[in-house]
Amino acid sequence: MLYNFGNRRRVINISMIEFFIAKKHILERKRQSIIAILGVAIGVTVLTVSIGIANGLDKNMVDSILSISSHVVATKDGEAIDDYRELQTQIESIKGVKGAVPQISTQGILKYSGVFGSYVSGVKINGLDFDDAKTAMNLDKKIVAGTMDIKKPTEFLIGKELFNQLGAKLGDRITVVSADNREMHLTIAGVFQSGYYEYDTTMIIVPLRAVQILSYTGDTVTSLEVFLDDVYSAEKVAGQIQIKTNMSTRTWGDLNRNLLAALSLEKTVMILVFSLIVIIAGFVVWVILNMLVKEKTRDIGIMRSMGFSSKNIMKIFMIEGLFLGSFGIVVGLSISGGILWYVKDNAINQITNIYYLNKIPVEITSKEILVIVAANIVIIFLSSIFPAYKAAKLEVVEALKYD
Amino acid sequence: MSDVILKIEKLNKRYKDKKRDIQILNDLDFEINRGEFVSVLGKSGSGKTTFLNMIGMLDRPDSGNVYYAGQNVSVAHSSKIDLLRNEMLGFIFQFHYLLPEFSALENVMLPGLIGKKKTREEVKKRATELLTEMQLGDRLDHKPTELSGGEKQRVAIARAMINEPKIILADEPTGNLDEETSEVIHDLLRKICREKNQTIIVVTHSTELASITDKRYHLTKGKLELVVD
Repeated sequence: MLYNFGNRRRVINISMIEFFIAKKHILERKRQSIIAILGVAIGVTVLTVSIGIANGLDKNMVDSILSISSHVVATKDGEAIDDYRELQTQIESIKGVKGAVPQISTQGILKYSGVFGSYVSGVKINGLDFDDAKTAMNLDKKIVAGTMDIKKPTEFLIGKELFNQLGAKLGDRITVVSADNREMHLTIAGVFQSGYYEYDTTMIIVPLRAVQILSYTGDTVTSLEVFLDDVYSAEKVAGQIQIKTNMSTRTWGDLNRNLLAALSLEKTVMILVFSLIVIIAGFVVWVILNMLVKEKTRDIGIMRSMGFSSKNIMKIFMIEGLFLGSFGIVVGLSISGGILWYVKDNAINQITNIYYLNKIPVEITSKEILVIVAANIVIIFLSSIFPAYKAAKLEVVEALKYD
Repeated sequence: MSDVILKIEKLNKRYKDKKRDIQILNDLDFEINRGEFVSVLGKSGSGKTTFLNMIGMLDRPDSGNVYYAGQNVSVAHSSKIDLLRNEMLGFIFQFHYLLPEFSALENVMLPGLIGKKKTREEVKKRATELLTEMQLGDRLDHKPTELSGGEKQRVAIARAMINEPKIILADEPTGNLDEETSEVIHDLLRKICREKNQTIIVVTHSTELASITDKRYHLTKGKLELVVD
């Protein structure tokens, strides 16, 4: 027992002396230490900030696409759906479904004459029940002017960008021409902003009844637009809809496959490229430790002659590498936190214009931070172990002779 | 009672490279008793330092045995050798070889902090005592660059003594000092030997230093010869 206790104390002492020497080396070579710390910190910062912003932009893109378009589209393969009220009840009874909105999607030409002269443009016409839209897709929250509480079925909602292009005012009348050359006069009741530029420039939302009349479809719809509590359960819910109603389904993932693939490719390439910076940071640690080992060659010989084992020597340099690296990671994470926080709250005009954003979105998970930290530690460990091993393997006599 | 603390049998060491093949130590035998102060003289290149490195287990012989207190260390595992070196030996080199980042006190403490059952406080107390004995009580916190040559060498001697080693090995301890300072170091070594019954082996080409030792050996052609007055 007593012997074990003594042994244990010895282990503690050994690690203390190695820390003691490593600390001295680091403090005596402040400039090299700072360079190593900065190198690692910059690598971590670049990676963290770019992942944070890329995630944010991705999420923002997905959010805006999904802001007024549905998560699952259920159709009867292009056939008109007449029992849509019944199907709507069935779908809404599925767990995880927030609401289903019967909809006719068609295209037409919008005509308007106002202060900017007459305006003609093709538009996407979504015919749907405004009450359903309120509960299922929270459309009322997207209204930026006017109201969606309409009194007549000829009142409609218009995208904000389109509204601005027309130079129209609330209550103005426009004419919509259908593909069959039927005309209908509608009144602007409200303006919506989805956050997705494409929708805001080309879409109008019209009461279901009006579109049914415009397109001669009778009391039918073309699709049921399903909204979910969790957008990432779309595949699962789509399967259940198929079983329950025998309808065909497409999820938002299917509909935006190219865009999502592009986003994911972009992010992968970005992470790969910025990982190179982390590797370079590891290289900086390697070079600085190698320099240190070279500078300290004779001191290593002296320490060996005092009875330091090669393990002790190895530990000293490993501690130095890992300390510099870890400190760099901490500094890098702090800087990243600061930058992301600043960017989040202070929009940069040029970027926000291109991306149609009010703010730069930032999104980073603790898992991603953990991966960044772990990858850095692995790289720093690898960059430290070789110089440390070299130091440990020095021949004592040769090291003592070294100038 | 045999008081042989170090015994060497048939030690051989040769250096080989493409051009040369030099037999530095040739079936060398040697022994030293506790408390003896021994010097080894020789021309430069005669293998004095190699001899000292062999005793100090800094280098391995090609063949032959080294016994410390009856224990054969030439076959010991390297981790054991590190421990032996720490506990049984103290080195003094020609160029003080103090670690530049550490103060005089820390330099003396370092060997005491390796693999010891002593606490930092105990080691610090002992190191302070040693430095005070060396008349360096007011230099404890000075870095090596702030000390004179003689002071540095005295710190190095204190460092060699911190673990109360069985043997102190000194390689030209005054080779780099002026005459007056050398005198001080010589007196110090003799004093240590007398007062602490400390075994000391010095390798030197200084006859002055050799003259104060109990025994003098001459290293020629890879063998040691006792010099008789």
